[in-house]
Amino acid sequence: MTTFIQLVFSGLALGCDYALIALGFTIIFKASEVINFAQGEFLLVGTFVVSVAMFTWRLGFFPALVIGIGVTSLIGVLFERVVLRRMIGRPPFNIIMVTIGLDVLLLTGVIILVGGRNPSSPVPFDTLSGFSIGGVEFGANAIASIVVTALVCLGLYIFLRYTRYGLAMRATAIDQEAARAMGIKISTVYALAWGISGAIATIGGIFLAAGAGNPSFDVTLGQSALVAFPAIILGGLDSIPGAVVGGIAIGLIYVLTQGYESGGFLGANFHLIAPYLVMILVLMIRPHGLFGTRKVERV
Amino acid sequence: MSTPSPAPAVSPTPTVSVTPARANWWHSSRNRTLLLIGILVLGVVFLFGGDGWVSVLDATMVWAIAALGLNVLSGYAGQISLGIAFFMGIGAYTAGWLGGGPPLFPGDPNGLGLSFLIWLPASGIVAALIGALVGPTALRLKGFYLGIVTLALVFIGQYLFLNLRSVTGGAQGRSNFPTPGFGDFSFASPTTVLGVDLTINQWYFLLLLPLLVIAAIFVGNVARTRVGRAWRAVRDNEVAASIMGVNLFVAKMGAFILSSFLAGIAGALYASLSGIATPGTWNLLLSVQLIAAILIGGAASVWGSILGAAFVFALPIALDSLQLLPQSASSTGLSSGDLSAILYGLLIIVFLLYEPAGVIGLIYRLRTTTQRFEARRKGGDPATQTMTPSDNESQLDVEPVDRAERTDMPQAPN
Amino acid sequence: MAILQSRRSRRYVLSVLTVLALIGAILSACGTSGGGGIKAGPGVDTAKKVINLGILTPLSGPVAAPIGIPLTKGIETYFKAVNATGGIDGYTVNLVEKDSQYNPQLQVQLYNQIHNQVLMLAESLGSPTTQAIVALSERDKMLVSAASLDSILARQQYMVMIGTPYRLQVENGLEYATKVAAQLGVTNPKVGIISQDDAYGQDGLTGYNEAIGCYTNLNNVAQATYEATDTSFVAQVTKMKQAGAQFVVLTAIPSAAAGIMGTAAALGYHPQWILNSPAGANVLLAAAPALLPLFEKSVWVVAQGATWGDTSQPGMAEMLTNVQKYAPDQKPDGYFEFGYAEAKVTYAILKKAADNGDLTRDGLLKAFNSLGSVDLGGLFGANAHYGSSANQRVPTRDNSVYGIDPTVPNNFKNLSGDFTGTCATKSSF
Repeated sequence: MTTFIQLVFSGLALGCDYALIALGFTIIFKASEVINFAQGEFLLVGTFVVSVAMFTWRLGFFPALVIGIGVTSLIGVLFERVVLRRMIGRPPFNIIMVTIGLDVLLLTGVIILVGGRNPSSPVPFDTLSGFSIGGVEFGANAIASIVVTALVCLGLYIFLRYTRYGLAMRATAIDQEAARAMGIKISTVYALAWGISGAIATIGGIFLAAGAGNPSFDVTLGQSALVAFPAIILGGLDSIPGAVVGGIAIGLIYVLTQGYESGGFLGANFHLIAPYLVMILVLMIRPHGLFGTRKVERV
Repeated sequence: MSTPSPAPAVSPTPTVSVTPARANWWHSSRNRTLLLIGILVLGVVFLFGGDGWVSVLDATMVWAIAALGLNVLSGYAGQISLGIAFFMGIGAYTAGWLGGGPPLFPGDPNGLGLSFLIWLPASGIVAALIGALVGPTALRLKGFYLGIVTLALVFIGQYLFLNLRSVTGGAQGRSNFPTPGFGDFSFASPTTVLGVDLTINQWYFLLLLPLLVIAAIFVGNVARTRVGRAWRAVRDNEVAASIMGVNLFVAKMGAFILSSFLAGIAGALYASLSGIATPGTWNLLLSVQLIAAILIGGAASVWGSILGAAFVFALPIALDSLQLLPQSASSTGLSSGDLSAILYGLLIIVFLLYEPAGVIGLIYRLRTTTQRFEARRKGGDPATQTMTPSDNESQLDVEPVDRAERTDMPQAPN
Repeated sequence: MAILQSRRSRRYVLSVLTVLALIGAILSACGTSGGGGIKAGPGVDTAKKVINLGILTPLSGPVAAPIGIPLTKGIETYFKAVNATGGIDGYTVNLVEKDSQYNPQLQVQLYNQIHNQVLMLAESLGSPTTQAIVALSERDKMLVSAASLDSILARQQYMVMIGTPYRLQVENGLEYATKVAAQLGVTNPKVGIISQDDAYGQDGLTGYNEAIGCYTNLNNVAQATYEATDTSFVAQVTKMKQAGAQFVVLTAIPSAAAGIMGTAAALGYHPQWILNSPAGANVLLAAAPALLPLFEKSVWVVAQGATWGDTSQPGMAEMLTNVQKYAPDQKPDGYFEFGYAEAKVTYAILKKAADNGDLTRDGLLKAFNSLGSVDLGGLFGANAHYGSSANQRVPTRDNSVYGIDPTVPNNFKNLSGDFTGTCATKSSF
């Protein structure tokens, strides 16, 4: 039983990391209808920058975090302005491919800068700290993941509901033309979406890197973010609460299958594809996910 | 030389998107010259280039076949697919299972040792069958959703390859892939034929070139028929296509099956050339590189597939051998692999921004621009000039390069 | 032909043909000069007295910095020293290095590029990469010094191996564990293994299963695998923890090993960790300075080689002198040592062949088969033995178990001394 609780707790923490990544996807999608395949590498870049700032430049955690968020947001905003702005009206295939091009660029850039040493996980507390109840360990990093995710969700909620810019974003997501007609500056909304998405990616990346006690990470960190795709499909592509729920669900599925697969008839590494199998199932049965809006295509 | 005839003025806009009864491109003598030059270059490299360059050409030709397959599905039919690595893997393991010899290393699964004439087509057919199985479910989805499902296919494929040890050799991979051979003659130990003593890589070259040519001609021809036009119609606007009477399901499935077939063949040849494949060989990066190849070379274009494959796959080696980035353990700088990754990442973005039809599109655009320039030079307003084709070149020789001109809004996935 | 009818196109084609002919002429101008008293194979320039050796190793990518680069530097340093003291019977050694990026397909391409320019490969790093060129090197009759500890390469005729395979490392490590357990009064120690899901992990797992068979008092309680891109090791660790494994073998890469051990610590689980040599690369310590106290208490690394700085071993003393001269920035690194020792074996083969007056590929093979044992001067625990036929050519089977000790120069302290376990001695592969 303790195993089960331990796995559930870890799944929850991992799920919160995935939720943050999924949120990043969803925010961009809601604002500009683009799926950013490079989101995983945003995560990697952000985490890498924070790590360098913290350990090589010896800044404190929060200054380093600010720098990391700044860099990723900047890359996002620049990419949106320089590249995506010019691709409006192009076929979706091309837009998706352009984000894949960015993905390759960012990943190779980090590979070159990292140079083969594994950067240390940039968390502000000792990864080994935590407390235990009845044989189940509640690690500091896991608790932080859950708490921070909750805070980020709260912050987003407040932002979207109660601030002018949040309102502008929601309006743009519902109907771009009408929003523009009301005087909302779409370019600001886009920039904001990419910026927020980059910031959330950095935060998610930090927790993902530290895991349940990893002292370091390597350049494949971005690949782990691919699992967020099943999360957003499950939750619904254009739903923010869906992203969170989907992320947590996928995290739980991942860790629980990992814990119980034990080389039985399912073979090795089943946990890696379990989220994708769930995703395919969702796509067959309920393509708009748990919370997404059903799109009606008028012909 | 033809003289300007008093025909009505022809507007010199190059972006014609209709290719009716398309003239055979090699009716133009310029194209024939280019082809001859290409053959001469290949011949020179084949005879004098040394084993290194010949083996690079071999690998490039295999990649070109894979790129052709991807182009059929994504370029002509416009279906986003990240799954080509999976189908290549299927083809490779089919070839290994049917044609492979005794194990080279402990952990290698057994092969049935069947002949080349069986395992090569079989690798394509099995991949096509799997494509037929997967297709109906996958192709119900569009755009991003299709992309994600094909992404999942790659991961599911790797999981299957990891666990089906009796065919794939599991984590340690498999080394006993078959080499091509006809009857007594095998590439693995070629005997001197007709007094000519060629290296193994040269024999592969002599095999791969005709295979590539056949694949290229086949794809090019299909693209010119009703099937190909149906694909393009599906790509451009599914709703309009179905209204016009195109059976969407048949068109998409056809593209998917042909694409998987070519990918399977390419995978088998790739494994045969490389001598070893692990489940990690058929990874997402492979699919991304092939997509980069067709985007840079030119989507929906046979030559584009070949050029793109050459660029993405031969460039790192070419850079390496030109010693532009000399490397030793004591002085490591930028590696050629990293440099070419940056290059093709950048080029994907640049091409998609400015020339979505890739290098081929650029070439056509340049050519029509020079034609326009020539017309202007001959004097007068180009609008009233007749564009007389020079050297028997057909005006209708232009690939549809108008993907940039379309203005439909990005579609929200349904 | 229609092409040649137009004068303009005729000139065009003619100029193109000229250019092509020139290219052809340039490309075919290559080759080594012959002549001289010694029989020379490809890659040997008897006029300039140079022997060219190839190196296929990752110089970029994740395997480069922890393994590929230090190992290759070890080889470079040794041959720099050799060249400075007159070379091999007057021949200097030139290393042709190519970056394989740990990609087997790329390795095959690069092999095809250099195989006619070199006499043998002084290094081919990695198991899948080396497997990819085994058939090719057999066809070319070219010796390959394989920088891989995967046991499945051991019986190949043209592979020069050095170092104890991963499989035997695990067996030796577990023998040491039984000894320590006995001292602590634990009669049936519970053991488990976490391995990477690739060839390396597979080799470790094979050794683990063999050891379970050999040492009957070992109680196998749990096995788990992980994938290279996993960031969460909670499931695997929990499995070990629930089963109560007291010794856990880690056939992993350094980042995963750090992650697994860190996760275990966070989950309050403290077994004795037994690491294969790659997991215990120096990179491990650099990646996790915060975990050093933890490592000190509970990590063993199964490897071999003299402790860096132990000048009582003549081989180490010689290496340190050369490091001073040719690679003064080199920090203590087990892989550097490995490469240096590997180069010593390569030198022994070349020297013997040169003394025989036969620097052809066949000459090298003969020299290798008649090599007997190579004196490594204590750089590795025992000397390397090579028999006269492929089946007798057993790589070393000995290991030492090292603990982590920050007070020692390389941070690794030899706990067990060099030994060959009973299981490792009789393991056949």
